[in-house]
Amino acid sequence: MQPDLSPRPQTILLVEDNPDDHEATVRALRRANMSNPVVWSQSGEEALEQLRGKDGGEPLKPGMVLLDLNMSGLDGRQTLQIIKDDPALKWIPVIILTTSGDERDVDSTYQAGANSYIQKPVSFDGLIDALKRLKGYWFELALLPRNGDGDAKTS
Amino acid sequence: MDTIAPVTEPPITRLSQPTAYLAAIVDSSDDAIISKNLNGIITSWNRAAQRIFGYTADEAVGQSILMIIPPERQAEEADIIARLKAGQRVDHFETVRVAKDGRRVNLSVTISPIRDDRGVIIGASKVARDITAQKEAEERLLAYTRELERSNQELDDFAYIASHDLKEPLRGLHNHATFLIEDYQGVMDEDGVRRLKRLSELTQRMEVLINDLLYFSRLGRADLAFQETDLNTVVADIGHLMEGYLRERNARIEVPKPLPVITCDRTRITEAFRNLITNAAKYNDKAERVIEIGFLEHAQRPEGPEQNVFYVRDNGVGIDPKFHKDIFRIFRRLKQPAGEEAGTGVGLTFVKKIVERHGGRIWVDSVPGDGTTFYFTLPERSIPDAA
Repeated sequence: MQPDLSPRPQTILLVEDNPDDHEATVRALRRANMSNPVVWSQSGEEALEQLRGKDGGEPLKPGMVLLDLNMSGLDGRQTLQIIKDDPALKWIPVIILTTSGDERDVDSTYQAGANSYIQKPVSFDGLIDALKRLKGYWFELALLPRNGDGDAKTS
Repeated sequence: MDTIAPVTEPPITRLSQPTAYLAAIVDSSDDAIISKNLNGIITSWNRAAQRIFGYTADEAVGQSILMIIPPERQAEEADIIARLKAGQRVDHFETVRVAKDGRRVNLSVTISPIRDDRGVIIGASKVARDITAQKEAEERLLAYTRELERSNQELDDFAYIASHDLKEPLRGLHNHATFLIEDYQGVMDEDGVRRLKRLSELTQRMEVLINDLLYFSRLGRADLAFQETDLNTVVADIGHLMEGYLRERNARIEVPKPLPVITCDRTRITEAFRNLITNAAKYNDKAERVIEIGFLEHAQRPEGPEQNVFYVRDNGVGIDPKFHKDIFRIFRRLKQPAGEEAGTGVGLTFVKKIVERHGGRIWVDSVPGDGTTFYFTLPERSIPDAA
């Protein structure tokens, strides 16, 4: 019997300080015919506000976080650590999406609990392909724990 | 038995000649040779001692040895005397002494007890070598090493900065060229679109080159993770991973004899083999492409004989000898075979770096039209018998 995969969080939280890369990601999603809502945080601080609920508001429960590593302020490495140390947040798949292909970054982010590590594809077509595959895996294939998953509980 | 010397020969003659002889040796020595009694009073002082410490024998004999010991090291003397009294030698003890003009001298000192006829320790002989120049050389070397470490760190930092700060604007260029093509397709003429596509390709190519350069710089500095590695498994794994690539080119890997188990950085060595296998399958126009991988206990390199040599041999197009040096240089590419995607020309550069990091050498032997053999050694760790 197929597990019930229907109502799951489909929002993508994109943590990216570069407006060009944000635009490229949004365009790539459109080109891939993906209608997932994308919430854009320009820093680690903004991302944590979204995930914990801003000013007592509802916390965002994204289906995945796409996290850039090199950002000013709270960078991707620190943001990842905070997310994975927080029992309320650590179930959220965090995919590192960065220009860095440095082995040390790969090692340290997996150590810190990253769920996947993608070096930003060199070409725009490569980015489209990467997003399609990420969606296919995290939104259509992988099962996530139900606790903490607000959308799933309502079903 | 005629061991008894004639009584006519006075014993003084027999003694004085060797004594003068020994005195001459002591005097011509390059090392300071000093004797002292157990109270630390200097009893003899050779010419080298005068040269090193600046005091003449007249000035030194009768004085305390403490006069050449710097204030902060005076305690050493009591320790030395205690050891001498116990009949012990002090061997190649590195210390600092002070010369007449206050100059500090680095010395390597050997001190041995002197006994009288009855075997009682009555003093000490001290042979001291001036190692100031040696010490200075050591310190210079240490300074160079620190400088090298610092500049390596800077190179590492630079590589890291390059990875982010140089690539970010490049990605921007690529993205904007792509957006222009998407958004203004109907507005621009064909030539405009063609040029934008070219711009987009060039930025991509530059990013690939930067990534390769970064990887190359890391290959040169990251520590190797040595582990016992069965090269038969390594080659078999590459064969599985490259199955599609090899099948498309009708290429097959042959290992005539089992390869050895060696201690190496498995990931890197796998990469070296993978690059060589890729090349062997790629630069090949035969209907059946054969890649032979083997191990030789002896092989001849143009520069001389080598032991424990690995080789990857193909029956491909071969490489003109005039390119044999060039092919290992980064971003140098040979003419791409028809139907093959152009690489960046880093594969062999990576292989060379990996081999050299293991302390080995790589060379090529090739006859154009007849195939190519890449040879390399991995001598850093012992290579036991074939598995």
